[in-house]
Amino acid sequence: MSLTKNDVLNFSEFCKKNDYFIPIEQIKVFFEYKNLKKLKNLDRELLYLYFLIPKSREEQVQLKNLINRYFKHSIEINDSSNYSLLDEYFDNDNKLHEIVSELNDENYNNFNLLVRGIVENYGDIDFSRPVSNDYWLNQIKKSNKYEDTMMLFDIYEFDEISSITNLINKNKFNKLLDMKILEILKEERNKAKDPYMPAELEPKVQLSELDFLYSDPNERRILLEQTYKLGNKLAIKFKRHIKQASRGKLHFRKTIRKSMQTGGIFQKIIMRPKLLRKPNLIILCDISGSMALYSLFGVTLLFGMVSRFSSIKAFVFIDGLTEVTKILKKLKKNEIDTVLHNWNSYVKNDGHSDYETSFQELIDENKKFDSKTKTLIVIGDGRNNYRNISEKLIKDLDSQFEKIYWMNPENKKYWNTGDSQIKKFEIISENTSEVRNYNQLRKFVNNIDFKKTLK
Amino acid sequence: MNINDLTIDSLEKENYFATQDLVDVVNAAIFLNKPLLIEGPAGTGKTFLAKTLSSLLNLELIRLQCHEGIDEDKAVYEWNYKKQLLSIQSNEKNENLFDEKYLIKRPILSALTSEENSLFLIDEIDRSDEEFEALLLEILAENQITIPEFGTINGSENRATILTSNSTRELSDALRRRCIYYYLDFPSIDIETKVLMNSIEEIDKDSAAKYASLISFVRSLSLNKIPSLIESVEWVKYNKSKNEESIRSNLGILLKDKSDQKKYIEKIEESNEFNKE
Repeated sequence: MSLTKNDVLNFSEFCKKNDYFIPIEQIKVFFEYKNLKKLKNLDRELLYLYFLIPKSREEQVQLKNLINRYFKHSIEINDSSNYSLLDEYFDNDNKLHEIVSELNDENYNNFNLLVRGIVENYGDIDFSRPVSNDYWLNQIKKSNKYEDTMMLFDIYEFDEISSITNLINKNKFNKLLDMKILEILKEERNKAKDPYMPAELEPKVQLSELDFLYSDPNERRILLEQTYKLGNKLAIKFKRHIKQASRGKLHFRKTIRKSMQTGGIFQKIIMRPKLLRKPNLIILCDISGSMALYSLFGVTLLFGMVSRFSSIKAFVFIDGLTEVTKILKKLKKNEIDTVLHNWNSYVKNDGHSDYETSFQELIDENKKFDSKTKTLIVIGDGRNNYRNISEKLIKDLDSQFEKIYWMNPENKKYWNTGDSQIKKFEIISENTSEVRNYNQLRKFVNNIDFKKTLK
Repeated sequence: MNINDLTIDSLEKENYFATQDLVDVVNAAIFLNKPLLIEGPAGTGKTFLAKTLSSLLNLELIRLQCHEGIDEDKAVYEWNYKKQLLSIQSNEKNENLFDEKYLIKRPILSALTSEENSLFLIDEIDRSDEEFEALLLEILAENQITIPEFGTINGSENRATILTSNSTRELSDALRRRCIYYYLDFPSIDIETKVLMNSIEEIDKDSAAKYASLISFVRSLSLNKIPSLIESVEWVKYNKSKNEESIRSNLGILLKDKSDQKKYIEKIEESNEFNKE
């Protein structure tokens, strides 16, 4: 089988529906290459499709998922499936050595038998019950046969370095075993009479679309890393505009001295650098209980910004304001959650978020710096626990800050319900958006424009 | 350029160990005569790939190291003002001051006009400013450059281009669109084993594989600074030459952060206890 133009065009249509746009010229490049190289094999063609089209890491991941879904063909890249064979495996019991070396040779016969054995040994799987395959997998994991199989890795004595290799082998094997069991379960479910079809069987949501709240620790780690990078990006964006505004008056002495080189002819005019203005970007994060996990992402974004550029000020608040710029600067990248561990120290009153007091304190704080242009970024849900937000505060905020950007982690349909007072802030802020996943966060960061503020 | 396809083996002869997909992408880039943009963390062999290719394919390597504030004068061309001044003062006949002999060629221009087969390496493009990227577009897409006083200079076709980036900043879409993209991650265990065996004489395959999986384990911990390929090779090399069997000695070569070292030792102890159970 080989890809025709129609196939690729249909695929491109399919991608468009899924928010991924393939430029026509890239398709042209692909076919140019395909014809010149006379590619015939579908595997190779898809691989080149994957390599020639995307232009960034995120796009690669996106396209990989789309290819998996459309062509039902998975692209495996850089995945080393080999196991390292340790000397210890060769001793007395040869079973493990046998299995692992067969897997290295891509001979799956015995392994498949083994997995089938485990599944059949468990026996009482009932697919009409309203539970997913994952449930049955967990049940099987508790069975003796499964545990015995995994025990194969635990019966040896190792020195330090081999023990880690063994651990890695074990994890790899465990993953493969689970995948295979799920595969068998899927087959069996399709064979069974009126099986229950749970929602989990549908394709998973992409990581960038995943709600921060429902991420598991691994996904969260990747997302936090990305969030940190976004913070860096935002800080650099801010820095660049300061740099552009940094040409000042003529530096007469240096210009004359430079002209000596060329016999007194002025060739290069040297300007005095303009003095940098005092901090004028303030970023504020609500870390009260209602913000839950979102405050971790907020603080990571703060950290990403502060660690790049010193004149950005970061604050957190619950019922009173605390500046965390200095605390964040001392931290390392993998210690960010420690900020939230001493949550108690940020509580000034009763531990429920109080926007009125916090913003009032911010305004007082802000008056200390005499700078003309300021931008404020707020991360918060605007839930004020039925406390009042006065007109005067809103007016003060509006006059104090030139631009306010508001990031609200709450689902948009719950805005302005109950104690949410987001509409009062919406009037004065430049951009109020719902930010619950990485894509929304990226869009929000991209939309922030310092250029207009600095004029 | 007419060059036969590369294979993993031919790269290995030059001590570069690559996966099949990297080789495929390099072949495609050379074949289509498009620039290749390689992104990835520091120390995974992006620059070394360019060096290997240049020696393997007999290409002259022209390298442009980007840094903050790099501009046209440093990267493309500059007029030799002093020579022009002297020429005015020497009372010669009215000759054209903007002639080729007053032009100082910087890396981009010399890559463009090079008559031999050449490999043009633009290193760490992410360190340059955004404006500089725009400057590159004409060269990457049209293979030409315009000097206002001089006219347009067309480049020769016998040139491969490689751009590397550490992704400290997002590159513009316009630049990405003109390139073929590859993300070069840290090497897999297999490749790291090969690298270790190649660069350390007294190591056998088994212990190289053990060290390689140890290092991939270290990289999977959430560290502040992930050890690069060179650091890991140096660490294993030194430990082997001193006959140190312990994996806790000379940690300063591998991990360059105090909290990272602490974390590493904790994890090692954890896994040891796990095995004893």
